[in-house]
Amino acid sequence: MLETGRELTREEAQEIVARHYRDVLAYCRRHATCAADAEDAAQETFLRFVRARPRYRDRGRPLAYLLTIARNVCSDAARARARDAAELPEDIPDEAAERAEERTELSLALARLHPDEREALELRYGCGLRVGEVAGALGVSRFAASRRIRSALAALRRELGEGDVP
Amino acid sequence: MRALGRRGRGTERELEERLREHYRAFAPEGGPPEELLAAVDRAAASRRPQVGWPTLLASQARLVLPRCVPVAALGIALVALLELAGASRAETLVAASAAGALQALAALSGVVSGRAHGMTELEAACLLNARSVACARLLLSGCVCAVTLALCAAASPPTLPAWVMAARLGAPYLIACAGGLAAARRAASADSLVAALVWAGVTCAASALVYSVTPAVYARASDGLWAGAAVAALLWCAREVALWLRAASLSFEPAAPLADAS
Repeated sequence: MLETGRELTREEAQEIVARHYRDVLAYCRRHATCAADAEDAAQETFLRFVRARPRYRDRGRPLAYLLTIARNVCSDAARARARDAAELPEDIPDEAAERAEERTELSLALARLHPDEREALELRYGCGLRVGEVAGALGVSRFAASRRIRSALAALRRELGEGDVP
Repeated sequence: MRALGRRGRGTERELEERLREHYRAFAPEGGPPEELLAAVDRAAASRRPQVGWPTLLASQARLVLPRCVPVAALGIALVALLELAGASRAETLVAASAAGALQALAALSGVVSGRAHGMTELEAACLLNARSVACARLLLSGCVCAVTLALCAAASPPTLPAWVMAARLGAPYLIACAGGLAAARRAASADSLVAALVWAGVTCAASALVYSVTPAVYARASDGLWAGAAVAALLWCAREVALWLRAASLSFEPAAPLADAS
């Protein structure tokens, strides 16, 4: 585990990038409009992590902190997209169309969930974060994160036609 | 019931495993690109100069003190003048409490100016982030105000106990500070300074107006009420300072909903 409150060595930075790049890129891909934007967001995430390292006070895994930064980067990008909405291309990117074809029943059920619930599931099961780390990434209490995950699972079961299970 | 519960847990675990498989299926292949590794290497290699709290406080003192010290001197002089001129106890107290609210007005103008001029986003990206800057300004303003109120208390009628003076001078000051911070935090960025100053100004005027409407509030019998108000205002002010520092660390931007492309 990394020590807190000091700058990263170059070797540590390289190791973190190598270990977590795929997880961060996967998260960014789910929140970007195209693969190129996702790669830019992933790159920005790692650079912010290295620059902000002296302020990093979380003793948890670096992945939890990286995903918190990735969430902010994707939020910034979403705000910028909203501002530039008039300039957005009208054609749907090819990658998005390909992904749409690959959607399974579970994908469609996930797409129908509330975005907050979907994000909680994504962080918990897609990124493998613990409940406390999900809470940190979402900026909510541990109790609220746990409740959100539970309600998301219940909503997903309903969407999948499995009904409420006690 | 037990069978149903076991089945429920089994179904939940199955669903959790399905979700993990689903997300694994969309995981990207390959490692980080060379240009990212090179950029991270450069960022890790660059070292930042270390700046401590004394340097930060000294830099912020140049902004905060020119605003606070003249108002402090004016308030102390006014109270001392009234006392020397033989004004009544109540009149001196009104002037002292109004001086406290005025002091808060001067302090708030320094504390919220970063937000009002849209500088917090820049400060957040700088070596000393907006939270440190806000904390330094609050500390400096608080120290100046504490000295001012102490001197005003020293210049007020000597017959009053210290806790009564603290309550009567502290309550308007703390209400002005807390309300000003709350108003500035809730207002739009460009309006935040005006919102804070209007609140502090209204508090200042109200503390003088209340005396003219009901002079009894400055009578000896109301000491308990003033003490209660001061304690409540202190708690409110502490909460608002914590919220202000938290908002500064987030650049005062509300969490935006994420766009979902999946």
